[in-house]
Amino acid sequence: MAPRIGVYVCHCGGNISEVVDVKKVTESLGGQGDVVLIKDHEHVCSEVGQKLILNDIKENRLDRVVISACSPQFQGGTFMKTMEQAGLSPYVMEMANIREQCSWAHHGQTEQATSKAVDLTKMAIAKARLDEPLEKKVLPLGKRVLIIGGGIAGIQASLDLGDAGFEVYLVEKEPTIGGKMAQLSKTFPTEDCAACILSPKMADVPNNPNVRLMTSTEVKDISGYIGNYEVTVTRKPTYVDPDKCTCCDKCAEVCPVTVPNEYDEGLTTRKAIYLPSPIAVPNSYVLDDKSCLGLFPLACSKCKEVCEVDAINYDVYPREEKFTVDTIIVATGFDIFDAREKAVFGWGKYENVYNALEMERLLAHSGEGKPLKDLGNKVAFIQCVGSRDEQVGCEYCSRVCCMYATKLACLFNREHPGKEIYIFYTDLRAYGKGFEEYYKRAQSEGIKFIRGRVAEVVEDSETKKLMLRAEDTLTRKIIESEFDSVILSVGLRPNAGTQKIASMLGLSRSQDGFLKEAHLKFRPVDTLIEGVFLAGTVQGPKDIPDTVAQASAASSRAIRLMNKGEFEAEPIIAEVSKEMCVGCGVCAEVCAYGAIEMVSSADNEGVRTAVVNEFLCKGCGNCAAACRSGAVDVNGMSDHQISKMIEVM
Amino acid sequence: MDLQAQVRQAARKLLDDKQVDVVIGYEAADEPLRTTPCFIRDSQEVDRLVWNPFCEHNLAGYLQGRQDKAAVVAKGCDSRAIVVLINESQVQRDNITVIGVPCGGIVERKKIYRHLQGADIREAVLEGDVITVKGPGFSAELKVEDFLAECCKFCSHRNPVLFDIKIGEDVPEVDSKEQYHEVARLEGSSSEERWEFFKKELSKCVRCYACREACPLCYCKQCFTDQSLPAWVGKTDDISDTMAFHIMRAYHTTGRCVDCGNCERACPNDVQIRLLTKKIEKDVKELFGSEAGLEIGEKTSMMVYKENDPQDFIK
Amino acid sequence: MQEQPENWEPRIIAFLCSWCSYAGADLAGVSRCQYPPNIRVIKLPCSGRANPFYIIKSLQQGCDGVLISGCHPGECHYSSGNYYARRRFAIMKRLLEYIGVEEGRVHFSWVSASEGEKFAKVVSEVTEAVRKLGPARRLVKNEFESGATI
Repeated sequence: MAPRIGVYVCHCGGNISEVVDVKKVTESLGGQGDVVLIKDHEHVCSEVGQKLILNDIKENRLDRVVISACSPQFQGGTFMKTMEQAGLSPYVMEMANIREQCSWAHHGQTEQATSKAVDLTKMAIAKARLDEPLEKKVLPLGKRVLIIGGGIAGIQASLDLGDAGFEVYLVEKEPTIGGKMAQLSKTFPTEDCAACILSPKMADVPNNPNVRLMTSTEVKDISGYIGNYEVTVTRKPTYVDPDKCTCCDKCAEVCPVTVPNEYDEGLTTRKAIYLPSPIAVPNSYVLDDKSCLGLFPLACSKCKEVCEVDAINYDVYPREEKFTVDTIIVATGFDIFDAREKAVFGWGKYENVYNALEMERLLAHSGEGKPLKDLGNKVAFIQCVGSRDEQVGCEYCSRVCCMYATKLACLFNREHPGKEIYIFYTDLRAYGKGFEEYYKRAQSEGIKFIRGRVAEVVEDSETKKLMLRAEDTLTRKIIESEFDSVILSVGLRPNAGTQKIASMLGLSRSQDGFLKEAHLKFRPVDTLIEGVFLAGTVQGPKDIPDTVAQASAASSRAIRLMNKGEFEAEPIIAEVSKEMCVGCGVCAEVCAYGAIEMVSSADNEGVRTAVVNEFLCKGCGNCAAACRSGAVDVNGMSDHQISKMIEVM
Repeated sequence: MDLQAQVRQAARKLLDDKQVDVVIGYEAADEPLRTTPCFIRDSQEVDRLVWNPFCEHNLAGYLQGRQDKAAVVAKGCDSRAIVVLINESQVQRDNITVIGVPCGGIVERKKIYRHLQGADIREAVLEGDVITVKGPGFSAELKVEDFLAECCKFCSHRNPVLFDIKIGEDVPEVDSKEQYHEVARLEGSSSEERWEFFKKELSKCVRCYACREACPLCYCKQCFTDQSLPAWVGKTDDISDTMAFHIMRAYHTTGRCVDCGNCERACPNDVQIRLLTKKIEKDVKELFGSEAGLEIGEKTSMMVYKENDPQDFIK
Repeated sequence: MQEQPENWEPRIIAFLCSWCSYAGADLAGVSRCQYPPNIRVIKLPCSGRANPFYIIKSLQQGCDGVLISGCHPGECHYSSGNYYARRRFAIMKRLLEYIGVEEGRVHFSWVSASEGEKFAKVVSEVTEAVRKLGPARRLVKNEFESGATI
């Protein structure tokens, strides 16, 4: 059945009609059988104008409407509502822009502006003729969130969302939450004890009735889309029941296996059965089956024998758990730069060269009166190790190192007054609240800041002291000096587990390798995948205040989405014709939203077809332009429609 | 053992061991200076297979959409076409066995006919690198290297890039720096001159679509020319439609064409359509630094981007 | 310069991406920036939607010039649409000019939503460039001159 098109040309109170001869436009449109009504009006968008349209639609059984007036960016929404009021799909209305892009830009050129207005209206009619009465797709949204990563970002987000009444699954692959912050000694610029301020927050997590904490758990697979993310996790066995364990330490005392302690970056040891950290949450010992003498078959059972509360059970296996969530927050954190890549500094080779995390642990222990090492009398910090360095593939600045080095230097200085402490820096970035003041204080406390890059560190094989060569760029002198210890301020790197999660979810990475936000300024915690958010250092290097801010921001964005109870997807989306698709995969590759999946045919694995997820597709049409076979097109913005519009010329 | 014998031996073994259902290769044709694609399913018939400078066809096209297990004889360009087909999921790597042969170049029959001014060649015998052609009242000895196809003269990959079985030893690669000389010559002329040249050249086209059918990478279920909603290009013999068709088809080969020359060979009217695809190949190399069909898993240049792609042509 | 019929005005088709170039064009109008009235706009969601075949179709239809405009690289509303578009346009523009379509018929630009003045300037430049070339004759389909037209 042929469409019945109604056309309205607006005077816009003179804004259009002073330049464009509106009457002439209406007269020039005739001759097309399916255009059953052409009217002009002073103000089509006014109540009177809209009533006219509503009436005309009813009386003339119009099913397509073209309005030649202002920009669709201006009144498009108004007229779409008018369509809905008339009982029509808002997508059968087209506008021709004869104001912003015609009368206002071609003042005094009536003949040409009128001719342009006629053409633009004809083009709108050509498009409207082929419009389909599309409808918005609605997806119900619940209140379930998956947070991947139990560092400070994940912890903050889970508490925000739990308190707001949302159902949170917090998945952490280590046996305890806390992340890197739990390993820090004190935090800049306030020198708060990291463990002290983090502990209460960590304790709040399992106490929050809306948060389901899953430690020693890894995400195995995520499929689906917003409102319907199907998550599979692997729950790794710890062999100790956290509800029973009293942390009495008897098991560790009898355990025959000693291995380096990861929490202390290998500076101390632990047993195969151990408490992951002094502030571990869940507060329970865990058995590391990789270092244990053997469980299957059972080689030793000393820990189980001495456990007075019978908390240890060897008969547990990794098991999978599946659940569905509506939104996801990725908070998988960072890794530090492996300083072995900068071999000139000798980390991993020379016993007196440490990285910053090791220094944090050294200070944590010495702060409690139990020093692990004597760092000597002359200590140097080297900045920008693995940051701002093209040679190791890391051009960006890691943001926190200037401040953490200053902090480590101050803490060391306070414990050991009178020692010589040098910081060799490139620029000193003290940009945040309280940072500049802290830096000034460090200088007044006697920490020496030398502006210059360090060329190399060489160890004296007998004394094990370290000879450092650097250039002082302010005095333009070469410094060659011997130090007792050198600490490398290592940069932040995207962590290994992040890539796996990113691939699962279809998230892209920025040029620096961290996960990419939807818009650097206006959507810094969103991603292009609907319903997936980022929080913390997974998005880029940042300090604790910024991480916490982002975690709360991500929570708020997730709440904003889920609070509506439903997700409306625009129907102007891509569609793939199965008959035409040859399965080449170009469309899926160029889709920024991961909305196209190549699906294998059931009976013939080799044959694939592209399938568009209508809830992820944003209708940009990049896929349609990339498709050689003519299999992909966009509903409401089809190649045929565009072709007809071109033909008006 | 010469290369031809090695090809036959490889085919015999593959069929005897039932590793493949069919060996796709070349056999002697009824007419001189030609071979024809053949499908050997019985190991007793492998002696039909030949390998010589008349083995011009790109057999990769026969792999697309197959359900059985096939072996295929592949020259350098053919192997690259196979890589593209694998990357575009048209061929399953596990279902094919590539018998890679090093290629010194293919003889372009049309050149011989032009040289002999359309003589009625009844017989052609190849010995070493000399072809002796005979016909009523004439006989001529022609050197293979004087009659190589244009795409072979400056071939960039004479040795197969992908193979399961390698026949013979690698042949030395030629300096392919000059491979764009025809394109460069045209680029050097004026817009007017180019228009007149292409208008004249493409007006020879009768829209038979032999080029499209011959191309191993043209496998769309419905070609854009046959689509009507929208009708991208008309089917008339208006030169505008013909030129539009060729521009569009060439564009679809962007980042994929391996310059096997199948298209130009298939054309009954000697339209030099390689001048278009070669131009695109040159641009892809210059602008994006990529070449088609070299690595399995590689994404073609239209599927990827660099943040600093050239854009001096954009205001 | 080609011989031009009297009163001939270039007819230029412009494909503008909604989020940047179209909005920039609107801003030009709001700011009353004046530019030649020769363009006819088709609004696309993204410059990445523009199939290079639209250019050929436009030229066949008799458009004297074609302009495609999108967001600046890195600012695409759909993240990467314009990056792919950039590659497509580079190839198609070179191919068209190689085959003899005059340089100056097909144009591309990046115009952001805040660049109303730039939009007006781009349209003026494009219109002038096309005007200098005269009416399009190459690649125009002449339905009345050819043979069988079914």
